[in-house]
Amino acid sequence: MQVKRNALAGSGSSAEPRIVAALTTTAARAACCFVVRNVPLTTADGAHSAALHVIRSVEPYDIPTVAWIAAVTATLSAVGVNVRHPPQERVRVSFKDATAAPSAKRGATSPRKETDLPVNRTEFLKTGLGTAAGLGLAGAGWDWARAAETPIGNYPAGTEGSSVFVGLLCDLTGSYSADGEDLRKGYLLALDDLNNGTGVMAKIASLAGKKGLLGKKVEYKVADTETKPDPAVQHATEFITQNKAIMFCGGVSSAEVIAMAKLGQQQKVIYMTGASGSNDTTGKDCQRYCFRSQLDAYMVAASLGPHLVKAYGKNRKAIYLTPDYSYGHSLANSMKAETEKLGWKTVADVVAPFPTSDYSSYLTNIANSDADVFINIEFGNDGIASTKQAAQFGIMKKMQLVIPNISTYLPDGLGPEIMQGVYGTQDWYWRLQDRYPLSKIFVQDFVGRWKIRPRWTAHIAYAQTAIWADAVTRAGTFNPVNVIKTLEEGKPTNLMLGPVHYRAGDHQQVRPCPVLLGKKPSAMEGKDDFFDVVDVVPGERVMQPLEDTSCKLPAYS
Amino acid sequence: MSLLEVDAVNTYYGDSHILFDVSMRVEEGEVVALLGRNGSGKTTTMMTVMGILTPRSGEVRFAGHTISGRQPYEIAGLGVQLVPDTRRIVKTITVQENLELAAFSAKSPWSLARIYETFPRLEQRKSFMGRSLSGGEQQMLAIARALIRDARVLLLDEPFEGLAPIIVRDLLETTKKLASEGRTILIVEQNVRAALLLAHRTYVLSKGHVVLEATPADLEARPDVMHRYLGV
Amino acid sequence: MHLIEAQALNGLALGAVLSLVALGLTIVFGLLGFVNFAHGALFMVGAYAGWVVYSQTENFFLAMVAALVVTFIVGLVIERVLIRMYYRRPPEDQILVTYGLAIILVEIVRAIFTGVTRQMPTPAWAAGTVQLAGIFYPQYRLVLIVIAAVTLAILYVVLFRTRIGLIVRAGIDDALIVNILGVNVNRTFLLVFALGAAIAGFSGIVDAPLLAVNPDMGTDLLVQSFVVVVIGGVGSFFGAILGGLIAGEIISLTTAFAADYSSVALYAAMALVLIVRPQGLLGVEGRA
Ligand SMILES: Nc1ncnc2c1ncn2[C@@H]1O[C@H](COP(=O)(O)OP(=O)(O)OP(=O)(O)O)[C@@H](O)[C@H]1O
Ligand SMILES: [Mg+2]
Repeated sequence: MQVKRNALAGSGSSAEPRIVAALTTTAARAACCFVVRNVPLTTADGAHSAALHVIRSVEPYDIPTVAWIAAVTATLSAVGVNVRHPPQERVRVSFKDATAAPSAKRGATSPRKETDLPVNRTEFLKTGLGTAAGLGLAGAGWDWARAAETPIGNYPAGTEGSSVFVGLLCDLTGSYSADGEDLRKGYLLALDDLNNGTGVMAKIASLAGKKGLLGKKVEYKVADTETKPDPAVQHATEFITQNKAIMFCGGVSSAEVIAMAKLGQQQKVIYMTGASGSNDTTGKDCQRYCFRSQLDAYMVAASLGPHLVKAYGKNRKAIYLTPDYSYGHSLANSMKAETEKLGWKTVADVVAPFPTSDYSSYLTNIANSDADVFINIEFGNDGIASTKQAAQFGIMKKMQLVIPNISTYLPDGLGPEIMQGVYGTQDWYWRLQDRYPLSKIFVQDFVGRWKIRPRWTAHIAYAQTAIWADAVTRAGTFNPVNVIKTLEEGKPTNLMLGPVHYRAGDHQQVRPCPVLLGKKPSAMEGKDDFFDVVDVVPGERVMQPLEDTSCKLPAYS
Repeated sequence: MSLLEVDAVNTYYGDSHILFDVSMRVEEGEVVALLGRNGSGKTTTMMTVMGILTPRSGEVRFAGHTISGRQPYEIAGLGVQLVPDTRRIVKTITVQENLELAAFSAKSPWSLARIYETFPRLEQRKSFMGRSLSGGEQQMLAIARALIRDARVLLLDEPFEGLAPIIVRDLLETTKKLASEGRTILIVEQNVRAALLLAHRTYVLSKGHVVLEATPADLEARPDVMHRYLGV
Repeated sequence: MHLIEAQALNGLALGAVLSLVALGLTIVFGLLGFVNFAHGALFMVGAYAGWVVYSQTENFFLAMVAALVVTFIVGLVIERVLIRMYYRRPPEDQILVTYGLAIILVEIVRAIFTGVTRQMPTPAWAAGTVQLAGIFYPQYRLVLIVIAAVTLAILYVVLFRTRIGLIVRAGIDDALIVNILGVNVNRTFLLVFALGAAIAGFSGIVDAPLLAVNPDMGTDLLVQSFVVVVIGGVGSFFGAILGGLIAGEIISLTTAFAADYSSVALYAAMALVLIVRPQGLLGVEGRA
């Protein structure tokens, strides 16, 4: 290696390539490091985890910022300014031990001028906190009466300014990124409606004619959970500690949701779930500070099961493909229990790690079983890849495909040829606008803002935000204990699926459950008209008995 | 004007200064030996001429062109050819492919037949992988690669090092023949006797400084210098 | 045909793709001396380029051509304006710049096409199943094996039967001596980087009918193909193929019998190779 690098160096003396090199290096480092906002890279040991940290920390949807910072730093370094910070504050991504040759071996004849672009985390924090403090003081509406209450979580600290903060955790990258993006759009619409007193928010009795929440503007930030629990909890923690979030919400996988719910309970900050279909979310992992609106696995199975038996008959043999985490097992088990109760047999439950991209080994086993119904529990991109590959294996020629929980963009990724005749459920589907007037308004407003129709994760985002806002208004305080107690009263909020409320014992929402059937391609009116709504099952009928949920809600404080 | 001129060159490895104002010249058809103890900077000089290292100051000129600061392939294109001390035979290709690789960019390459005539041993080994060659064969191939390019100046860095005496004798013959055909050669050699046998002129390097320029005869007449700078 | 043979066939199909992806990675790694972490992103770019053309023309062949051409050009541009500046910089910079590049490519694609998974159907002529000794097997997976084999054969000819191939193979072992022997290595590096990108992009489109086409699709594959490179030996053509097939079979056979251990088994195999033969199965000892 030693001289190889020299050779490549060619002439080190000419100024032009060095400036270009400085430019590009700094641009690249800027892109990789400078946008690292809150992650201490110092903890990184070894190339792999360092790189993961770098990747994890770059906020997507922020290309303009990246480009801007890159341009500025590149210009600075091109004119010879070294952006330096005290060494102890420098974020080092250290690959040295593993890969670097001793410096002599690099052997450029002129010494390498290193342009360091460290990320000074404390500096960021200081500026941020300083600004926050400044703003807080400026808008000081100090309420002595409230200050007398016992502080809990971020209350009252997070409510002392003219605005409150809500943290939005969305799966913008990773296996559930399409769902996460829809979720994000839903939150943004909800919060804008809340702040402007418009849309479905304005139709909620307690919020009608008001802007903001208890007279305060609701600020928010979006963070990417990468479809993984660790980054989700990490970002949520930052929202709670740095932004003094009064509520946080989001997540598309049950693994993330359960982890964030624990955090909410610990920190005494209300957490409204995003998409989460596992029974555990409001079962063994239920939390006082967490509320879930999506149908749990039990409700999916109880709503769907009778339709399956009606359509396909009593003596069927089902085989399952299940992602190996809370949601997968929960839904597979609920489906097994329900269908077996109705007379079906379970041939096998084929469990695949989450995420997986090549399902051939699992599908070979499924294709060669004697099952006649293929129940695919996989979700998101995994759901698309597995179903696509199952079609290639000819499984759908032998078996009837059922997708109990159809992720938002799955039909788009698979196409109507595969989706036709497939039974499943979704939390919400835009065709429900024919039944529910507020769904119609929601669809209209969403299309007005985002130019596409909402999917069901956007519905969850909007509905969860609205119910929380309703409860805060009715409680007349941001104090989480009062808000939780208001939510537990069970007084329904009228929303896109009509009146819905949470069951006090486990915080599962009691709500209508839509059962869908894939349309024939020829019957589709437009590109996203994938389903007929064959039934909307009243929630009360399909709730798991509370005593079976193994939920024990922890204390309020 | 000399064919090859090294003019007040200062070369560094990173921050360590290795060559101090080194100047030397090689005339067309001349064989010049570069002598000096271990670590005196002989290889560094050769690499500076070849463009592998770039001097921080000073200049290297070849046939009137300034070549310092150019890339090795450009310098090779002008007819300067280093035969490195480590030989650098490409291990993963065959002997013949090593030769073909060298011939690709040469203006008037020798034919393979002519090379095999000069080094019959290589013909026998032509389809062997580079990594399977013995030290002597590697050295032959390294020199052959320079010859097939019909280089005007050969920079031979310790061509006889680590080889069995019988092979050294062969190679010495070959080199002598090349010299007698009028090829210009700059040679670095630990084996001072061998070098003095070949060279028309010598330079002695010590700690990166040229301390002496002399004919072989002058040098042999000065045992003090031989001892002090060359350890002989 | 027995189940185990079907699983072995799965391994072959998976291995074929892994070999192809790893080959692009390994020649770039071999020549440039550092891992191109943007390789997975280029795989994804190829899939998208192909998908765009396929959704316009419904012609899979044109989609393959588009993926090749687009990623080749992207590779040329990237090497010329960015990677070239990094050849003489320390390894951590080189790693960072390709990582940064990967992020940028992924985010650009996400900005243009959104994160929604795109539907890349199986080409109609390969959509069916074939019956092999009593077992139904997807025709496209067999086609994939053939495509990979043909591509590898073409690359073999390019690398082992042409002048540029000889330069590349020599450069992988020792770029400096190639430079010293009068070959303009800058041009070679440019070409090889673009070729590596094109191989990644091509793998992306031929693998797309099996996968969910979305901006993150290349991420996992990068790790697996890196393992393949380590097992096979950096810079080795046959090493990439052997490593790919071994990895494919390990993944398939372990998933068939103990799904939980498939990635464990893969990393264990890599560790074993690193202990017994640190240069990789077909790698050359002591290369730079
Ligand atoms: N890559 C390198 N980085 C730093 N210093 C080096 C490097 N290579 C050589 N040196 C130093 O440069 C000096 C000159 O080395 P050079 O190889 O030119 O000597 P030499 O005369 O060829 O010695 P030898 O007879 O051992 O071949 C030595 O002090 C050596 O330690
Ligand atoms: Mg030497």
